[in-house]
Formats: sequence, structure tokens, C-alpha cells
Amino acid sequence: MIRVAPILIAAVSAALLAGMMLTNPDYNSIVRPFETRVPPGETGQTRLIGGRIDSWRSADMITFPLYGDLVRRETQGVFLIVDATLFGTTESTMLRATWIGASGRRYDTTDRISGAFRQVQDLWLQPGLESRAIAIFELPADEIPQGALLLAQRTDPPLDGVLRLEAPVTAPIHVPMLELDG
Amino acid sequence: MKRLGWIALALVFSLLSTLLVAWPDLLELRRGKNWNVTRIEGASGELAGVTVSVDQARVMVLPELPDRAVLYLRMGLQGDAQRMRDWLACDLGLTDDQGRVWRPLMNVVGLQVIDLLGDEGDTDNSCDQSRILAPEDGSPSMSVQAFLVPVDVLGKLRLRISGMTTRPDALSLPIRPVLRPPPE
Repeated sequence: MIRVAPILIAAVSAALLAGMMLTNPDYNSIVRPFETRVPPGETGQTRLIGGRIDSWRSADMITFPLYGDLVRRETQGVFLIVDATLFGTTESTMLRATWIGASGRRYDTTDRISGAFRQVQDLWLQPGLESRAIAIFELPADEIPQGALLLAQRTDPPLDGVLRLEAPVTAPIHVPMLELDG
Repeated sequence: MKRLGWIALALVFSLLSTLLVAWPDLLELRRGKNWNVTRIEGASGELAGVTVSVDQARVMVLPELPDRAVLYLRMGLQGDAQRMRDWLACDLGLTDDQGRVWRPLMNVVGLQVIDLLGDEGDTDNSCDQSRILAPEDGSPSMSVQAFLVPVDVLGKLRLRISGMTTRPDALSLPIRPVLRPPPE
């Protein structure tokens, strides 16, 4: 019995260690950013980013001025335009916006409307200053309800905060064509 | 007693192995931030053999957005050319007494601010360019930067500058911007 106890302790220890090794998260999981969830209509903030969704719209077509011409863009899905008020907190920050659809898929802001004014990816948030910005996404229409706008630093933010602004409760106003300023 | 000794030894080795694994990260953390900021109250100061000076600071309050101002800053780096290159990269920003940091505008707006508030024949160099392209006669190597800041911090701003290799050491100099009227 005296010899069984150490063997049992060693076996349990080995099993525990093996369990820890098998469930050890990989590096990317360890340094994932912290997500701050903000309910619809409310203002939230992380270490670097603060903001709220003011309104949202959807459109089948967008027109905007570019180099003196009026450019028209259509999409196979639908354009989602999220209007937000954003502010910097502690340090100047460049942003990246992502729409998390109802299915969990993630959509980056579209590059096809570059030239339209006040887009979130062109914005440089400054501490103490509020800015109005729009984020434009191209996505299937069924990804819009129950989605969320995710705001993060432009560069990969390990162990830093990202802001998840939940979609408004009311459905977005849909227009066939939306004119944006350049 | 002997068992306690083994347990103590195991704890010591455990701590040592943790320290050994964490050592590169601790070094990186030390180099990653401006932990040791030297505050200077004059217009120039020395950091790692390089003299940093604030040459001009001008500010303009935006008429359409009176809560914010654009700020133009001309600064000089002077010293041994090799020492300036040894910095590897400039890390500069304007800070206030709450520890907030405003970084230079690296976009078209920044260039417009420099055009608006700068002088005729001003250099186009950024801090990093001025660090590499130092004049051979040893005179200060000038650079220009533009910032967007809230109006209420204008009297409290300081320039904080360091190089990639000077960190954790950094230098903090006061900024006394001269107000310029907006264009007609």
C-alpha cells in the first residue's frame, strides 16, 4: 500500500500534465484582443476607441464623386452603411471596421467606394475629439439583422481592446440608390 | 527537513525557468515603451547624444469646428550623424498632463496643414527623414509635423520624443504654439 500511493500520485500528476498540454491554447488564442460588447444605441469604449452607432441604412446602389466624375457602384448583395460617432481616448488611432453578420461571418469595409467622404478606414481618431464616420459593407441582406460593428486598431491588436457595437433594434432604411459626398 | 529542501529547490528552479522564458519578453516590454521620460523646460534637450529642439510651433483653430485645432511643429535634430541613424526610428507625439498622446498626421490633411502654417521653402522631411538626411555642416536637421488636437489642451502640450533604440529613455519638451488666424 505504501508503494501504491506514490505511483498513484505520479499517474494522476502525469494525467493532469497531459490534460494541460492537450488543452494548452495556441499563441493566437492567448493574445486575442478583448472584446467590449455594447448594446444597441449605447456608447462604449476600449483603451483606445470609443463610439456608438447613430443610424444605419442599406442600398442597392451607391453613387459618389471621384476626380470630378460621378461614380456608380452596384453590388450582388446589398450595401450596408453604418453611421457612427467615434472618439479617441488615450492615443491617436487608425481604425479597421468589420461587420459581424448574423451567421458569424465577418465582412471588411468595401474598397469599391474609396473616395467617398468620412469613411471609417480613412479616419484618424484623436484623443478628446469626436468624429462622425461611415462604414460601408457589401454583404447578403440576411447578414444585416442581429449583426454587429466591430471596431479595432488598423494593425493587429494583440491583448488590446476591440469595440463591438451591436446593431440597432430597428431595421435599416432601404433605398435603391444612395448618394454620398466626396 | 530534507523534503522541505527539495520542495524549496523545486520552487527556485520553477521561478528561474519562468524568468528565463519571460526574459526576452521583459526586454521587449522595456524597449517597447517610454518608461523613463526626462522633462526639459527649455526649447531643447539631449537624448542619447542627439540634441532635440523645438524650432516653431503654430496653431490654427478650425472655424467650422471650434473644438479642434491643427498644429504645425518644426523641430531639429542635431548631433553626430551616426548617432542619429542609430536611433533606427523616431517615436514622437504630443502629450498632455493626462498622459494622452496625439501622433503626427501622416496623410493628405497633414500635408495641407504644413502648407498652411509652414514657411516658404520649408523642409518636407519627417522626423525619420531628418534623422537620416542630416546636413554635413553639423547644423540641425529640420523636420515638420502636423497634428490635430482639442483646443482645450493647447496650453498643456509637450513634445515627447524617443528613438527605437533610446527607449525606455525619452525626452519631453514644452510646446508653446503661436496662434495663427484662419485664411480669409
